[in-house]
Amino acid sequence: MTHPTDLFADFVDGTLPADQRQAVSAHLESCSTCRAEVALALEAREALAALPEEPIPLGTTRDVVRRAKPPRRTASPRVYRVAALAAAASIIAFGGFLALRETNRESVTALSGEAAAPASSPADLEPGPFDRDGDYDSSELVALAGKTAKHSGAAERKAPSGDLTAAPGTTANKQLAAGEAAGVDVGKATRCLKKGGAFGHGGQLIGVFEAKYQGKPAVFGVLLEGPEAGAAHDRAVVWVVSRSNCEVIAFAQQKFPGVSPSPSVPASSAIP
Amino acid sequence: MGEQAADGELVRRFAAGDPAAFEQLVSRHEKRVYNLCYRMLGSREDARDATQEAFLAALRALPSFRGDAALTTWLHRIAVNACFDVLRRQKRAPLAELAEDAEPWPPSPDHAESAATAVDVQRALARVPEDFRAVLVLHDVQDLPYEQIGAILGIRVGTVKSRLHRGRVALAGLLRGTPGAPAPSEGTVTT
Repeated sequence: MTHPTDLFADFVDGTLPADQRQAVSAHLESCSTCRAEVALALEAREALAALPEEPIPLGTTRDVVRRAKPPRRTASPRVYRVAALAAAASIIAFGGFLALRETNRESVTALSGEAAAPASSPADLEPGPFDRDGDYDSSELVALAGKTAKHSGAAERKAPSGDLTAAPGTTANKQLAAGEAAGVDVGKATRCLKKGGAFGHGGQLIGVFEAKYQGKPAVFGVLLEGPEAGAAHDRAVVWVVSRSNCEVIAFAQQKFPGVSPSPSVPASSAIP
Repeated sequence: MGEQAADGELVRRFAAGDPAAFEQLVSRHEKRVYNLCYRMLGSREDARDATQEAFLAALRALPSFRGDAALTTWLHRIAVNACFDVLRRQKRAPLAELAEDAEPWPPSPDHAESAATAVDVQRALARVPEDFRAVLVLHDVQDLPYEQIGAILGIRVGTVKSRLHRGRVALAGLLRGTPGAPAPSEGTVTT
């Protein structure tokens, strides 16, 4: 037979009937070109099968779902509750993270000599007791990403080399050390985040803490990332993995304020 | 089979005017749709846009969904088309050129191995011609059978297998760094 390339997909997938499989195997024994090609195909199949599942960022389908529902009165008490909880959560202090935001403010002030960064209420900076029982929900997670984006975005713009770790007083080690001071085993938590896929995009870890997410004990990883690995940071992301099996529970991302949309995205693609 | 029945029930409830039915359909399928879009488009932004467009299109088309295809097949078809729309709108320079200019990414010392692999595979995948890439994602990433992929893409099973094999060879060649990739498709039907 000539090279049986039309059978190679099935062959690599193991779905050929026995007689055809034997015929292909026999051909491969004597044909180095086809052997090399099948080897490539197998490599590709395995590489693709090993790709991790990407978590869908919170809020992606919120607007579309809203469009399917009949219009309702705005639930303002809920909006208030979310805002209040987000503020309370910032006090509740996932210790390492609060230390992070304080240090960001210091770095912004030190570098620019200006008044401190975007307005946060004084309560944001009060160190609170480290509360392992804090319980986030999805809107609070998105708010956390937003706060990080706001503070980190400002710090990044003012850091001389654009690298947050180069700004005085804001080394990632210091931030993570603050997490340790709050009682988190940072090494273990980081490994758990890694297992869940949090470092699969090449971001920079700036904070780790433990709390609950929708009632489940979780590890939270706060990272700065760019649109792709190696690109300049333009967003804050928060990964939430289960403390028991390190699988991803939730994911939120928010771009730094003032970052222009990616050139590939037409401005008119926003869904109203 | 249970999955299809559950989808069918939600479609019925949607048709009957149940306001929560679409939300439940979305939450059942959004992760798969997002992953399909992410692997096709290579960026979270684009995947987000395509996912939103796909579900918006699904919302509009759901009233006329007759159930002659499985809902997942129908939804995948909408999602793949949304991805192709995004790719068409971008009118990017061929990604092969972009990749040459890109800075090499230094993996951080602690997370070198697994992080590098996933990023490298995704980057290589983004350089595989779109028609092959679609089959690679649907089959090797999302584990769909040949027949369903044929129904999603509107091609014969023989064509699915051919694109699958050629796509795999192209991807592995890119991963190994050899310039052996087939010529990029130009939107016309490739075998």
